[in-house]
Amino acid sequence: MSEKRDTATGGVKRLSRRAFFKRTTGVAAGAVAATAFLPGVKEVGTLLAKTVTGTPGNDMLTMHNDLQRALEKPMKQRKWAMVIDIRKCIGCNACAVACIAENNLPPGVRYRTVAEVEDGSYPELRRFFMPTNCMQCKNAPCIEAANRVIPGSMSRRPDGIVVIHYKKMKGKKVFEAASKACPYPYSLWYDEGKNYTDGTPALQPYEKRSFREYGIGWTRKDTKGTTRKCHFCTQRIDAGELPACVTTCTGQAMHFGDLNDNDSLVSKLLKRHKAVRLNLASGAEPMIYYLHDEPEQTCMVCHS
Amino acid sequence: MNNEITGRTRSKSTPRTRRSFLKSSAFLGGSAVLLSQLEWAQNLFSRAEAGVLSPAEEYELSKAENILRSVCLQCNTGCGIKVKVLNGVAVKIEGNPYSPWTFVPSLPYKTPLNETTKINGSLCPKGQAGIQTAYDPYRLVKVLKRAGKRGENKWKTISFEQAVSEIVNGGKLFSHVKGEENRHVQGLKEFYALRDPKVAKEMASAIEEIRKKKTPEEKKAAVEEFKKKFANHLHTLIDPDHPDLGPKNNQVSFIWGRLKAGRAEFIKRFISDSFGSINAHGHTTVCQGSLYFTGKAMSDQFAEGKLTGGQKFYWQADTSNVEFLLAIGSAYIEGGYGPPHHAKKLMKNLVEKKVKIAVVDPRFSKIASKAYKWVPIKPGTDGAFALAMIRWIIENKRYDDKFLQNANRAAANAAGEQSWTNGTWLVKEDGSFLRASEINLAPKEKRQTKDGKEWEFDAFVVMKDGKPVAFDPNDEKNPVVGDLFVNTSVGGIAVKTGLQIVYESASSKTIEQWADICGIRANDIIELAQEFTSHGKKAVADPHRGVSQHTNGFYNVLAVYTLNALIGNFDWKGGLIKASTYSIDGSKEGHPFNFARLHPKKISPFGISTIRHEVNYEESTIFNGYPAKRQWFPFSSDIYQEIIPSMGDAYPYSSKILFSYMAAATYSLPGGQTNIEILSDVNKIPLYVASDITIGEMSMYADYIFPDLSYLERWEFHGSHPSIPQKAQPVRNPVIAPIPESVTVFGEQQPISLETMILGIAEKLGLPGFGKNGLGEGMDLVRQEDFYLRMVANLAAGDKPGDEVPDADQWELQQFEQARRHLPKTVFDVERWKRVVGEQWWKKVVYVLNRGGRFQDYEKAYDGEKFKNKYGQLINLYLEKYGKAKSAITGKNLFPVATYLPIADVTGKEVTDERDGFNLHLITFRDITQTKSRTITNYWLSAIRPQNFVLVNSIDASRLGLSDGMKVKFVSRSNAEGVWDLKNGVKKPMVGEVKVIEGIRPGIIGFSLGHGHWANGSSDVVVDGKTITGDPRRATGVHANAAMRLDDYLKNTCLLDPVGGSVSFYDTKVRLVSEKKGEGGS
Repeated sequence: MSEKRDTATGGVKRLSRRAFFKRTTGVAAGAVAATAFLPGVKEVGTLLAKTVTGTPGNDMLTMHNDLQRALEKPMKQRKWAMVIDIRKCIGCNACAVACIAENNLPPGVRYRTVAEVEDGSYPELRRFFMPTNCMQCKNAPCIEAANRVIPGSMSRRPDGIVVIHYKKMKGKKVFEAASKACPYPYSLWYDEGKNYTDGTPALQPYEKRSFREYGIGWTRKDTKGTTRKCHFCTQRIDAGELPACVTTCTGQAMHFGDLNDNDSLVSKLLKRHKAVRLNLASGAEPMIYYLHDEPEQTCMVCHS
Repeated sequence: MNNEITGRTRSKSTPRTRRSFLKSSAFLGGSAVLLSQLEWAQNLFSRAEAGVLSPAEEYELSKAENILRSVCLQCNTGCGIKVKVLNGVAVKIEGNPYSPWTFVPSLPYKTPLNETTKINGSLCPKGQAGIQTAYDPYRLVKVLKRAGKRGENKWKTISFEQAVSEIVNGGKLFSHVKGEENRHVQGLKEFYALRDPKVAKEMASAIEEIRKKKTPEEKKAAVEEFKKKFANHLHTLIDPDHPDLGPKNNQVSFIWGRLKAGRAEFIKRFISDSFGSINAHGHTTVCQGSLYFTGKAMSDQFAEGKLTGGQKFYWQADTSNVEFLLAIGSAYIEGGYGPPHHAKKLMKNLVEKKVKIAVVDPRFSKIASKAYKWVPIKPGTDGAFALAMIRWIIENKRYDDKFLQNANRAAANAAGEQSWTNGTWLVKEDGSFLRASEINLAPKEKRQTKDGKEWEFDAFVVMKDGKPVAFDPNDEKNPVVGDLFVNTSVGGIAVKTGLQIVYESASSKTIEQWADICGIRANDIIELAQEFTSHGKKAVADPHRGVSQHTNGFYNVLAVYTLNALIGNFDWKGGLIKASTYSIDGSKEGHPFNFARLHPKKISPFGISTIRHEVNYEESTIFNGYPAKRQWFPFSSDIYQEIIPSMGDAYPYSSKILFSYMAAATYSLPGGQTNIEILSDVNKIPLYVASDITIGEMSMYADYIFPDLSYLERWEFHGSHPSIPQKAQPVRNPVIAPIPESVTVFGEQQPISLETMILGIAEKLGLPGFGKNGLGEGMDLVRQEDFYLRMVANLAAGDKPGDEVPDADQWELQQFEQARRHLPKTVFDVERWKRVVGEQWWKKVVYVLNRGGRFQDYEKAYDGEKFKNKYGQLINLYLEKYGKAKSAITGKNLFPVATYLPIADVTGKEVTDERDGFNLHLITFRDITQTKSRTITNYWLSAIRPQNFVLVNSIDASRLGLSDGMKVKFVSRSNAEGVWDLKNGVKKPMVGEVKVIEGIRPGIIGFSLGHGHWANGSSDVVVDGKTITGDPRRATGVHANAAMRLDDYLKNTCLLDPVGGSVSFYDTKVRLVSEKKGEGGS
């Protein structure tokens, strides 16, 4: 099934609604139910002409400072969220590659994907880009599903990040159970323990390196056969660095911060903007918010 | 359908067996570095398993001592990078927040280093994947010598010393190759013919005199005189009867792909200043040559009686502040010099409604997806489009009169402008500017140059309120303004202003007629012209490759820049700005190392180059009427597509030895297969030496390949780009241990690299300017750092006294060394480095290197609404010099102003292949995940985009019966077979996979550059008798440059712009031929 994950590849793809629907059902780690992609629900904020980012300064620095402030509090008082302004996303996939590099992901695993959609007919066209990753849901259905197969294989950190316990969560069965429960596509991935330079004249040193996730150091051998997913770059945020996808975002569409802090950029963005979260009907309470001027019309291109 | 695609791609990437790994490991020759890294990894791995990782190993990548700053080179943009190193291995790259390319606004330069450890800027996907360019299993480690025929890809590893010795001395070097048993190869020493700088100088000035002779008889007499005078030196010349071809030294050429400062000076020192060849050529014309060379034409200044000295440069929009951006053939957020900074600036302003974007492009590019208006123009008609806007703006008086009327510097200053045009200067019917003496308005005056030579000043003339006024363009005291549109006579001489001539060109057709040529609606042009003239100076029409890479590229660009001049947006915040770079060459006051003087025996090359650049055909002794055998380029240089084909034709003379660096002419040029044909012929180029990091698409045809250092292992000074408002000079410096093996040159252990190759040859050949005291008494040039560190010291000194950077403090000095603890002594030796620049400069050098270069603070780029790093001089809208010059093929004069020319070959014959059934117009574009020829080696990028596609509009698809996933072959008039003939028995079909989209103008098809490789690790090679299996993941997709139209007259090169020199990328008509299912594209 992992072959089918690469639907975001290959340039522009125009999709009829039906085609998209077909595709997404085929996509996710085996078994995302068709009902998973119900329309997003408009939920917070009102559209303001003047945005937070209109103030002078550098959003990246603002978020960096927000992060340092949050780290001064105990972990349980932090509520991490991503706010993705899809008007600013240029579909460059820098986030996807940065994530592979940061987390030393093996072939077939990509925590971040960016779907690309062309809508309309020549010459009246729209083209937009939709980054997705694990939504770190407050009521993450994957946790319960996984733990039903292997107890203790998934949990939630006090700051809301959904944790996979690599030493326990091994095998396809638990992966499939968690994937099936997840209301979103492109979230969970099965790690087959491959290397990008397998079969070439020489395995390259970067593939052998250690990497840190969930506060622990790992190598590829440890994670072979496990389920993998985005963890908001725990190693970075715990050390005071913003997630890799956020810092590298060329259009600065990515925002990250603490929703428990009213002064954080993410809090301000959500107060002042129209934002949507996907598939609230699932009750999962995802922690990724999407900004757009016309979320109804835009999101409906695929999610209807 | 889609599943089929991905399924197929996946099956191609199935990793090969362990056996092939073992078989091919000889290729790399067992790099010590890699082995130690492996050991480390295993060690760490076992400790991780045991759960005994120490706290110190917790997120190592956030620690200052594991971070080095340098510059990306995954494309030519030059984003600053922070390279994070874990136990000696680079594992993650971030943007450098000091760099304006990756952080907007960038951190103030004086921000303490320790405060920036955890702050990261942004990079594009290629930048993020950069470590895979360095850690590439197909990297070369040892020197390779050809063991089979050219291009056959059979090699043997030889010692560096042997290679250098053979190249210098020549001999029967390939007696082991069938057919070459008795071929004697002449070595470099035979072409190091003219060695005396004094004789070279005398010959050069005598040749200048020959050039000035008007008639063939006079020229002949002058040549005879020359032969008498230099009787003792005639054996050093290529042809004593044509001394203007220059010395035999010119039969050795050095050409390059992507070359940046530092290495540029190193190569020039070798091939030009020391060896004495004029043939050092770059690749500008395959990128956006005509953009650069229009910039050059427009920036000629009036000096000592001549309009001269134009810079090879161009302007771009200030994307931070522009209010209306009209992107013409310019893919801002996919290529176009800097998706990271352009995207950040434009997307922020877009959501804040501070910028409106309109896009003129046959493809619905990503920037078009962010625009309020997309105008899908026909390729190659951008000049017509700009002229239509010019016409509307002039007729509706929407131009900036207060800017355009300024005839000289004083007038510009008085009007609060920083630059001015020659649009009001009066021009006579013969195309020359009217001079004041001609109408007795002002007498000629004698003036003196800086070095005391006398010259005659004859004032230019404008018409003001019907009266002629004389002026000096450079006058700072007496402002002179002129009427814009004049068509009259003065003193019996018919005159017009340059602007009048521009208007006549623009009004030669109605807006409807222009719109018709462009295949768009007249109303769209008018609407855009209205919008363009509704933002004061904060609007820009920004041209890029889509405008310049046509046979009419030069005039397209001139038309677009002329359009900008109408609103006077040059040097304004939000207008057109230029690049500003800190100097490294020692030419500024206070620079410690003046490189112009650091050569004990510099020779000045002379003669006509193999590409006939910056020289007039008519002045040469080989002038033989029109048409000339090939085009001449009096105003342009670095004509990439003419280098190898001219060697093939031995015009103007034969070439004997070719060096190439980072070049992939065979792959990246339109019609690159013509280069393959010539390179594979040992009689046309008897010796070919390449410097490359892998066996590339061009270096595979070499006789010797020297491994080079990747961008993470080497030095360079990346310079800046017009879209970066701050003055900048990013410095590339070694951040990881070198991959190639180490050798001894001048007694010094150093990794093989471009520089080591040059040093080795210089040592063997005894070239001056290298080795002991190579830079002058007491200054050796025995390692590359001897050269580059001194440049860093110049950079640290700044461009004027008082501009020095601060000293690095104790913490910074420690970090500098700590962060380089993984570098071997062959590249980093702190005591030696210190000695090179001296104690006085060392701490400043560290300050610069710790920040990855030198960057001005954002706010310093502006002074209120004015752009401070200004162009600040004359902008030529009327090109007198060009109007006087003739095409060497047609013998006709060039146009002096913006004009629209139909797509044609060098003889002026229009290209109309669509009439012969070639029913689709081919364009290319950049996907952000690939550059043209190298990034296919990055597996993380292939994970995102495993292949490219043939993009076809749905209207064409249903007309032609094409659908998603179909395999089609590109066929054109120049390539009826639709293949790349690799001249090694392989014909690689140009077959790609169709993707049907809406976002491309019907009738146009496109493919993105960067796929369809046949070298660079994508196919099998044999080294020392062992087969190294190619990786099919590197061969995916299609590269259809071989379908691109060849010039009917020149035959062995692509269509080209005879004025600006650009190759034509977007003027080919093709047919797509459906392949049977199952036939692969590679």
